[in-house]
Amino acid sequence: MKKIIFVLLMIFAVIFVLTPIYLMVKISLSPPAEILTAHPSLGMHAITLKHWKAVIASGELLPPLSKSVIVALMSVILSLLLAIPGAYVLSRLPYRISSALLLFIFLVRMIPQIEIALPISVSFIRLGLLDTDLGLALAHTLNVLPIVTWVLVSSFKAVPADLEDQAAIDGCGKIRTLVKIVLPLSLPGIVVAAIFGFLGSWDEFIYAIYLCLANKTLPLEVYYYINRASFFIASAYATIITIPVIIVTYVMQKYLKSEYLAGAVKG
Amino acid sequence: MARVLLENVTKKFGDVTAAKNISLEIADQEFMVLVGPSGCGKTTTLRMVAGLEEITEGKIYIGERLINDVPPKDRNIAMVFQNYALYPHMRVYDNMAFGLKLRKTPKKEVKERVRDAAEILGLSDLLERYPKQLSGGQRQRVAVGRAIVRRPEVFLMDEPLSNLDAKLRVQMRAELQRLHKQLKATVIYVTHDQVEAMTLGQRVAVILKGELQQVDKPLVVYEKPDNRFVAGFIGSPPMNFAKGTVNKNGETYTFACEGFKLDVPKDIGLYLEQYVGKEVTFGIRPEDIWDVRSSDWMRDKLTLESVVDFREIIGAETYVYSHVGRVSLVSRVAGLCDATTGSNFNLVINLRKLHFFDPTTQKAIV
Repeated sequence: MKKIIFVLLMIFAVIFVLTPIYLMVKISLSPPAEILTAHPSLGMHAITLKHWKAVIASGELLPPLSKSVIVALMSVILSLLLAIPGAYVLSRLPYRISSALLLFIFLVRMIPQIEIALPISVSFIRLGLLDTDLGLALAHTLNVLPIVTWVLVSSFKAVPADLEDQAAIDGCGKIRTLVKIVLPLSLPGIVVAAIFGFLGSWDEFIYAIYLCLANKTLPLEVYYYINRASFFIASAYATIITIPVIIVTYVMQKYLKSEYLAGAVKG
Repeated sequence: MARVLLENVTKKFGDVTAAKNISLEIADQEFMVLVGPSGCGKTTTLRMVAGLEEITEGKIYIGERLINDVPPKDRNIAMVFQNYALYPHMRVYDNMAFGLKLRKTPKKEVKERVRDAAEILGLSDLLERYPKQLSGGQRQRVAVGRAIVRRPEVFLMDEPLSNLDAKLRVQMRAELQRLHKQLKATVIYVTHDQVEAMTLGQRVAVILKGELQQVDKPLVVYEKPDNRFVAGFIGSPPMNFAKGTVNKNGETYTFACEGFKLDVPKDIGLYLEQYVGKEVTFGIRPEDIWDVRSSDWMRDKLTLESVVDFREIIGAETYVYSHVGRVSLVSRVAGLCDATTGSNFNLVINLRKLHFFDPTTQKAIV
């Protein structure tokens, strides 16, 4: 009985999550006559590739796509570079101090982005970072850094202190211990952090709209077509945004194993 | 070579003193066991020698070198941890070779040394495995092997056998002794297990509450404990204690407590002269309390009539827990003892093996 309820709940949850995605894909593949009625139906009756052809033929897909990819990768790298040393130190501090510092890092997230984005864009004009990939990546890094740090702290904490002591005796300094011992053993945590970092940048909108002028990212492109009431083109772009998310998550999930620390210490 | 010298070493964690004023010299090639109950400061002391813990006060020398401010990697030591601390992402070979590679040892030599160590420890077939594919005993061997390949001046071992099952522990004990002879290295070995301390140590250092109590050969520590703490810690079941007073009756010294009274042999009694009329702590080991029926010559000795509380049957021997008056006594009787709860049990105390301690200083009087 319990099992049946569980399965039913899971089916419901899957439907709940997948319905909007289905609608998005459906709209991008439907002829306008089918959608632009008073009572559009849920099923797919006719399929047309004309909106997709239009998107590809326009030549406006590649620049925002590559910009989004570059900015997302840059902010993943930047946030990991900044968060790894910081999280390592935090993970080795007494709990009271580290939890207070972590909370402090999250402070940035407590202020609405729309308020921070303005001063940032003003300073970026001065620094020549406005409308650059690096500028947007820096803003996105600010956005994802707290969550990336938080994930890393907890995965570094799982590495037994005895392994670090052993490394010290074997001849490692602090940095070598981090690189050779702690990082390889925290790979699942780093992967999760990287996914968060990537997704946090990939569909980010508010910083993008402040900091992009000529070169748009994919979410801005969707926004542009929604503004012009081009639902079909917007849906096609939205679908394009979704595909890499599915690929990234699928590829990365094989690193999400729990047995990375097996065999280290008697437990 | 590599003697280790600790001079008035103290370690404080905030207000807590984990190790207090410890002075200890470990000779070159000596197997020294630090033994004490958990939390007594023995591991902290070992970690200070390793360089994993800063020394609050005092000095530590390895050989002639003062190593207080030398990082662990430059102390020429190797350490075996209680929970093995193997690198899970490296194969057995790489676990053992890691320290050598970091020291830029030529590749060929690394290979030879790892092979040799693997041979000694019977790990040759396991070099390509990951730690998670090994049993507890095999992991323990890898941890020891990793120390051996380094050929350090001093081996530090922190309860290396306590996670193994009893049978494996006995086997590894013999193996460690063999290794020690073979490698001719100085070993400092920390344990809470007194059987390990007695069997492995050439000398034993008993540490209690952060203080060094006694350092000597295992049998000396057992037979002539310096104070009550050591007497009560070494030996299982522990030594029996009873508080009572010393009296002098003509030329004979007597000891009386709330259960029994006995005449102290003259040579022992002489040491009690200054305690006449005063309180002392009496001590007797369980194996020095005999069942009166076990031998004929005991019949004319002083017997104490005790009432049995319970017994533990070990197989080769029986521990009988009984009381005489208000004094509880454990005795160790060979074979199966028929004393059941509530029955009378007549004891003879081996008067040659009496211990007396000063109740205020806790030091041994005799």
